[in-house]
Amino acid sequence: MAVVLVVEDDVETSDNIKARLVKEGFDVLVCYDGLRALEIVRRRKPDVVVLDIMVPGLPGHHLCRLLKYDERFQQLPIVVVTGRTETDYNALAEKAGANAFLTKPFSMDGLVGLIRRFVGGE
Amino acid sequence: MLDARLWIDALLKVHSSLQVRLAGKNIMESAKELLSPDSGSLMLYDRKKRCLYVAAALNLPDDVVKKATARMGERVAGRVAAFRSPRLLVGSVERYPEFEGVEGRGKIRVSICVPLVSDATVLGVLNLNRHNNSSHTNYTEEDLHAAALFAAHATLALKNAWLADTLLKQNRMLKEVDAARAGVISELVHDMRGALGAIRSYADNLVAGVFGDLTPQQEEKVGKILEQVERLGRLLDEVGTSGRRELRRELTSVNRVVQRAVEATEYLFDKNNIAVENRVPGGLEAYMDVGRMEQVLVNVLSNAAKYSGSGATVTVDARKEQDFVEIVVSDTGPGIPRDKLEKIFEEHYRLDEHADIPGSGLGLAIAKRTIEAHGGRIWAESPPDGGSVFHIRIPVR
Repeated sequence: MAVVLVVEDDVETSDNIKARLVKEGFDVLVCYDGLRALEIVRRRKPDVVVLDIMVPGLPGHHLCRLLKYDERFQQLPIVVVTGRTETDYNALAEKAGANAFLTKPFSMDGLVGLIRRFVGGE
Repeated sequence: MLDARLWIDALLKVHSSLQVRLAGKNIMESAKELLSPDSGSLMLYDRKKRCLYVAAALNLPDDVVKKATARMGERVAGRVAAFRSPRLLVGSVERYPEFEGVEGRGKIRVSICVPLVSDATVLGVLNLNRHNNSSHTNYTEEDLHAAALFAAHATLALKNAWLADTLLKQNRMLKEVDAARAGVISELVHDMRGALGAIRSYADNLVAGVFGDLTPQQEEKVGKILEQVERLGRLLDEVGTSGRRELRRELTSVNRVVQRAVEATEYLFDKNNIAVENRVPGGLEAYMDVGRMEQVLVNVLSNAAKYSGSGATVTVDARKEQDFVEIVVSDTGPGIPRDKLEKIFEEHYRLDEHADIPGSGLGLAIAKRTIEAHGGRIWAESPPDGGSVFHIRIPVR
């Protein structure tokens, strides 16, 4: 069963993402903090990370860069979620090596589709 | 007689600067050329301190310059400022009843004092002196008239410099206010997107049966919530865009931006059973605001995904044409009626035949505005053999 780590500090959104992904057959880990996410990735080695860019602890694009620098996680697909702002965080995340982008309010079908593509037609 | 050559040069110099400090210096130097004083000063009125101070001096010791301030009515300059008319003073000031109480001026034999007056407001005073040991003769009435004419130009030059200075300051302030406002809007938009994202996640999950099965009627109502969420999302695009007017253009791979937009809309294509293909060649680059261009492409692609119909194919291609890059989005759908090809870019305009498909009618209007801000053009075609084609043309740099 593919493991998805959801890093999102809006509890209602992360709860809903989790509920949906569980229903779609994924194993889901949730955390609300960028630093904690780094720890979880290292320990639990998820197959996909869904990453809100504005999370406490460590901003999403920094976390993304850290992971992409790490040989063990270079191939780990990262789906970045943003609320489009003045600062183009999508562009920052892309430079940091993120694999896909969603802007809030994004479609859950869209998210599920992306994750399925990354874990290979599950 | 006035020497025309000398005057032309002097006045050109007086009007040559829009900086107050430099304009003052130019006035003093030109006055020296025209009226040969042994010493002199240009005093300006400081409205806050309510006194005249020396802005430019000729042959005056620095300590005198620093100390030499005069309130209205004080000293010769202050008196002249109060009278608002030019004065020729020959010999000791005590000889003139209107200067009673003003202390004597030592080595000065003759002087011209001209107030600089604009709209009944005193901007300053120009003082020109000849000394006891001067090689020049005394100033005459004719010199006084010449000085008054010169002072009129000096007044204009100073006033222009002050106005320019005020405008620059206000402009700077407005820019700061504008930046602060854009920041506030941006934060607000971000937070609203977060809230909207949460609402959508509930609605999406309801439809997907995550919280149990819905009756058809409930499902229809949740669909209405999703419609409104989409509408608000579009409105936020609009607000976010107006919060920042300036584009941030950088050299970008066209293929990459198209790919991002395709990924963002892929679920819509999947849902409606439409194939989408990115055929943009890899090496193609153009200067663009990446975030905004992605938004334009998402808007155009969402339309293609919503309106092309099941089984259709959507392709995105691009090519370079001289100094432009043209992105072409074509679909094999039912096409757009000829007479509506321009109307679809108007705000809130929607084709009647699509009334049952959710949409705000803003997407293409936003796209058009963004493309025009890039110095480009967006238009639609409905080829005779069917389908519709959107052309997005932007300058390479």
